[in-house]
Amino acid sequence: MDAAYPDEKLMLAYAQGDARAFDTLYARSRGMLYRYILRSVADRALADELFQETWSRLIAARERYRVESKFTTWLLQIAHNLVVDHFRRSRPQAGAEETETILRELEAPESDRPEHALSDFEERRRLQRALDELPDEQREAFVLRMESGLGLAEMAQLTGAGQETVKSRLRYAFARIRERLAE
Amino acid sequence: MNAGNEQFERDFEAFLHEDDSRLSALYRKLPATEPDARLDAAVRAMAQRAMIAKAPARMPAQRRWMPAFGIAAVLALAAGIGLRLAPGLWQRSPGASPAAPAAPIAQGMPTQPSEPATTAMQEAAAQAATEAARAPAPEPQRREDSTPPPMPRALPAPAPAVRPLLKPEPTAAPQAASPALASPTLAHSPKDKAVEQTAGAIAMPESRRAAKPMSAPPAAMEATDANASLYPEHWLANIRQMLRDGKRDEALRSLALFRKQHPGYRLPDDLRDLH
Repeated sequence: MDAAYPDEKLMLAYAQGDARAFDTLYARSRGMLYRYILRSVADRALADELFQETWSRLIAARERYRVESKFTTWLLQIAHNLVVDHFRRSRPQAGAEETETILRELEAPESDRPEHALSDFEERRRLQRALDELPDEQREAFVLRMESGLGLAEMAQLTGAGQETVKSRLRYAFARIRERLAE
Repeated sequence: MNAGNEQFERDFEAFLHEDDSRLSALYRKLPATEPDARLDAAVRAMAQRAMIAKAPARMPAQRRWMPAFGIAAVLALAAGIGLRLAPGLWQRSPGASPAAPAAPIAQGMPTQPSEPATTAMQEAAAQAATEAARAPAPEPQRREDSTPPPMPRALPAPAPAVRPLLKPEPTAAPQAASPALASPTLAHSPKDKAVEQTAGAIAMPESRRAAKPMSAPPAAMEATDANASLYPEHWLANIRQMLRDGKRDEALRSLALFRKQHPGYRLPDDLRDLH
């Protein structure tokens, strides 16, 4: 299948019975989707389950797919719904008050200082830890932004939240990560 | 707002517009975790199964019509059984106009006990008619739905339409049909009737015509004229047949009886002035 073939056309082709189109689409999206789920839920077995369930729902709904938004948005929306369902079932969400406290305590990042240089390994470790410590909604927003490259409007559409809400989640996530990296 | 917060806002805006290459680059350095081969295989198999499962749903057009054909077949069968079991529903009433469609089913013809049987076929037919007459409860009027068992249709082929077409009895006069003389009750299809009407003449069975006493007095003839139980148009056709056979007296008597029984019937031109 032509690598330049848009995801949306591949999805339509699969809906009409082209199995090769699905293979191409899957190969393109599997890594991004898996990382989004894994880093959102921070559990490999759960990520496997949600990843498979996401594709299962996509396959079941393939004939209802309409090219009204990017395929990636649609795929991530399915995954997002599953992730949110998991969050709701598993643990309570961090309140806005908690994240506000973090933001208030924020200081200028130490990483701006030349003498504070961390090794790549240490930075990755800290980033991973920071991601793990983020409240679910903030982590999901950050990972979504990093993995998909979607804009605020698309992320708002995908998550069903307001654009300002998405921006706020990103802001808190960004602040917490910078804080962790600057320690 | 202090300098730290201003810097934060700038960095955040840069992050939103993907200008924060540092954080993005750092994120890219995280392990590029991917689903394992087992998971890939499971998802691909799921997609393949969905395609295979979908195939029967796209059945050809003729298979989509199968339920409709089935329903139509059942309805046709039910209609056929209904026609078979309740022929009276399709038979015209005695007061119906001649222009109305004629009933496709005939009744057994009442005959006089004194009439002799002439052919073996008639005897067999009469036997069947007797069986039909043996209804569980005696009814003053012959029921149309007491359909007799299938009758032998071995009428002589050359004889043009020898089956008498009978109309329902207008009066409740139970009449015991003689086994030897009762005419067979024959199923009469619309197609057969159309052929007979096109021919323009419905002949009496040869045996019946031969058995009728030509010298019978008018009163006796009135009582014995089997045409009285026929539909008017068929009765008139038999009268014409009598005229063609040279049986003018018999035809006139039958016509007189016809006029008496159907005073309001408008006779055709060829019979109107016949006296």
